[in-house]
Amino acid sequence: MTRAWRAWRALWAGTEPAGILSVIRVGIALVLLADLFEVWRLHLIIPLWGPGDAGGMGNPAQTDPPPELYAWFGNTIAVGRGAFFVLVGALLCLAVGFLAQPAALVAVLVYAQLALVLPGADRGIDMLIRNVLLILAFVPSGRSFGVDALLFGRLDHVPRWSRRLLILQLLVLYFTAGIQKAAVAWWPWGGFSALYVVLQDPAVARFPFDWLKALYPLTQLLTATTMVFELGALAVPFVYWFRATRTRGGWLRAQCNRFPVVPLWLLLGLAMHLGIAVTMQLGIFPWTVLSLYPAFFHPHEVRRALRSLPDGRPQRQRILPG
Amino acid sequence: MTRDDVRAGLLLVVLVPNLFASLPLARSASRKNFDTPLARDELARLREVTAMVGWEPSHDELADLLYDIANAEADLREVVLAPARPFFRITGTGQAWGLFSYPDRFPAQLVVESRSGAGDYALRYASLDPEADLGADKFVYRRVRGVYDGNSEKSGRTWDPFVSWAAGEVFAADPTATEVRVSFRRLRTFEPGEADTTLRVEGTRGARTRRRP
Repeated sequence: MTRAWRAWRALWAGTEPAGILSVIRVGIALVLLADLFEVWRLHLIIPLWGPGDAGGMGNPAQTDPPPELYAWFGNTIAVGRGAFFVLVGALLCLAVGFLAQPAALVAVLVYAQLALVLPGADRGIDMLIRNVLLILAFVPSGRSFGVDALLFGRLDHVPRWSRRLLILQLLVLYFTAGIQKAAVAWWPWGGFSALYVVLQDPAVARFPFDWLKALYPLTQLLTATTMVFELGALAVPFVYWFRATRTRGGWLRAQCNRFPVVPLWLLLGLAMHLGIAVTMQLGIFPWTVLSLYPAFFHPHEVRRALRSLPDGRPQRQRILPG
Repeated sequence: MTRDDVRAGLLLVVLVPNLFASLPLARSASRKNFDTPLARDELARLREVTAMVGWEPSHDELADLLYDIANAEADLREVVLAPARPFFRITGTGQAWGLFSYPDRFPAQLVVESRSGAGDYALRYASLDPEADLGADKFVYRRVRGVYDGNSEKSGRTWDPFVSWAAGEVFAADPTATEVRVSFRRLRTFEPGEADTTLRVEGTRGARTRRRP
């Protein structure tokens, strides 16, 4: 038990350079800001989050229990609109790293209130964003690349647990999405027809896919690949563990350390999300998940990769520590 | 106890309910849901699979069994997550990652029509119909789609407010429209080899009308 606790403690201890987490902070804030800009552009603030008598589809007064924001400040247009702009303001602060931690906390709490008003308009990806924002609320990422660094002093390192928690979040997302695919259409005994069926759904598809019959075998292959990718998430922690214990020996450990398994798996994920972005109308889903992909790389790995770029970049080489 | 111990302990407290919440356990169970066209089709395919190992239950037998399992799962989930529920609610966080778990062979197409006076209804919007794209950028926006998609099987609490909003969009865009009808076309998807067509319209549901105020 003591040994297990020591390993668990060590997993989350320590610090690392802050660059990756700052990239994620900016990325997630910009993706959600782009989505909220769309809400504003389409005049949807009140239909989505306003009171019923003003045309709100959710009507906070009828939810049980009512969202605290509306219970405390009243079920009015001003509260719906105010909550929207507070969320936008908090995300702008987060993007530039100004009071980044309180901004992330405010964004989580306000966004959660909006989710309670009209749950149908709040998708799984919004929950993922809130999960990430909550992690960012506990990490001083604004003090590395952000206004907070100018105000409160620069921190070059952030706690390592935050990036590792983001990795775990993505692995849980993929693996549980894989094991929840209980429909036979995702499996060999259902003919791997899932993707073909999904692309015929007019509420999801970006274009009519009635011509897809000619490419049915390709959709079957992509369905199988999706399953391999999602269920393959379970292997990723083992690959990291093999890397951390590379001296222990063993054929499988050696093979996993010989090939860039995680980057190849991520490449598959990148292709899957770009495919979703091109063929389906799922809004910010692919971009949100992709904005978290940098978490899979240790800042030192990124540095090494930058260093291995072709010659002709002496300036970049000089600024990197040896 | 060191700072590292405290951090590791807190993370454990956060991760345990989150990991439990991510388990693929049913959130609720309703026996009626096993008789929808999608569920009937899915169970028929599942029975083909179980027949391969010599078990050939009837639809009702299999549905009853799965309902009992789902009920037990939902109860377990409710009990275990009860202490964490206020935290999940106030932060809007959680773990629920079903991405197209059940591809819908019986999808619904949103249809918005309008007419002037007692004339015939004209199609104004239908998903993926390039000739009926009034307000398409709003209807395809993910949050709006989420609202009406949730009503495609059974009209819920948000269906009537959605219809009123959609009608308002049409009235604003077309001053001659006096009445708007919003409904779903029920479709059926066929895999190659099952039928000559890919999609077939099998009726409509959820139709509601609104008159210009």
